[in-house]
Amino acid sequence: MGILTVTLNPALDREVIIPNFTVNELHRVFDKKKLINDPGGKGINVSTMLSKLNNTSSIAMGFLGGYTGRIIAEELRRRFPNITLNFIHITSESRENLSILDEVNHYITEINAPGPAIEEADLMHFMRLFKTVVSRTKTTVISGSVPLGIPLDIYADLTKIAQNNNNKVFVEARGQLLTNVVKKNCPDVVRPDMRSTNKVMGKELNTLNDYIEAGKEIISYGAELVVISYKMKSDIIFTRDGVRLLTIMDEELDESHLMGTGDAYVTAMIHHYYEIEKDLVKTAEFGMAAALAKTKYLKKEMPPLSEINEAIQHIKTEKMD
Amino acid sequence: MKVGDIMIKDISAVFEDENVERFIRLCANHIRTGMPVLDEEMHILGYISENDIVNAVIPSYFGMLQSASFIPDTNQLKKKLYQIKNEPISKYMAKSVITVKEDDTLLHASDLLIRHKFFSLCVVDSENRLSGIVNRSRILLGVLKELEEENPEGEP
Repeated sequence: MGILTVTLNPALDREVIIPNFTVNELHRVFDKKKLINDPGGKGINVSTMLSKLNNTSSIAMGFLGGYTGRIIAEELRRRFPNITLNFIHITSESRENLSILDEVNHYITEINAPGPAIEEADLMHFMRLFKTVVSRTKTTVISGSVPLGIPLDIYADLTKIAQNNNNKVFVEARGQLLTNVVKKNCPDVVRPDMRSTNKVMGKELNTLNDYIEAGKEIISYGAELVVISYKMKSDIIFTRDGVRLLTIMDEELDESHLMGTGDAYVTAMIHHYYEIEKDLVKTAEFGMAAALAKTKYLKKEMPPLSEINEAIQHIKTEKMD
Repeated sequence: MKVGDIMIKDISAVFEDENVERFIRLCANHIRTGMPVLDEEMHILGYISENDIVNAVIPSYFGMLQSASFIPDTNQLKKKLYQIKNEPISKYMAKSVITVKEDDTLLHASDLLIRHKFFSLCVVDSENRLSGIVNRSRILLGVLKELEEENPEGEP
């Protein structure tokens, strides 16, 4: 079916599990399973999750830099043979996030390296490759942050090119990137990334009414489906025929297990839309069920279809408007 | 086992109007010896390799001398590279590219590699668009895997 994921700022997520981690001490790790190198960045996460969910192939694009970028490419190649790589390798190093998990004392120590700066020649090359690749895909997922050197309206340019090539475009982003893409060239499916902000389209969302207005505004620019996460256990979804509140019933969420829920959400929506049914409300419900099923896992994992189908029983949908 | 089972799904590529300098820098970053040259619909127009550039900057009679120790200095090389670095790669790329399809056999791919003295081949889909690459070590790995699957105990 041809899915393209765009990750302009990929990361290498390294995790080391060290019980009783202490500074100024030597820790030897004997079990290789306790040293994890995970390719990350939101678009890449969707690619790897699609691969895990139903062995769905995809093409992954973006920039990979230096030594870190090479590890990301190698890990993807080794673990996900059905992801086709089309990254531009640059000189400047890709991002790297190192976390040291101490499960005994429940400490997490994190070290985040900065991302690269993108040169104009590489950006231009990327834009041309993107134009070429969308001519053979049906769906484009554009997700996450952008590195230095990338203009903040790039998502609008990419969405326009993809839509001109009859691609359905899914975007998950925040801040100015999101505002620009919605206003200049609205994607088909929009999920504001609310992980570290409650600002959408330049406005702070506090009351239920603020959320509804923000969602309606995005729909007015041309989106078919908007999903805004409202409170821990509910999402508000917007389509052209109304506003609905999706709530998780009779289930407790582990707040420390939220890593990767947004990516599982988008992955499951794509799966539902193309493999099950194009009904937008059901697509969003399926996405939310995947996010709920994901919270049974600590790390970013794609829950299997059986667990998503089980989780969907706990989602109640009410029409609000 | 087919080419599709062992190919590297990487569609990194360049366009024919990009210049030699850009190609050299990309090759270094990608740790590749060459790249397919695509049109805007992903069809393969050619293949450009570092060899094509080396041949373009070193006078051809050097090949006959078997050694570069005769070169008095590297000025000539620098001069030549400076002359061509802004030229489009279409001038130096190989225009007839031998490709394999994903459902071709490993034997067919190795035959092509040996016959044409290539190290890698472009893999194309049913519409002749680039879908990956296959190289000698990947083919050998595939054969080893086949051997293990067919004869887990010993000799074929």
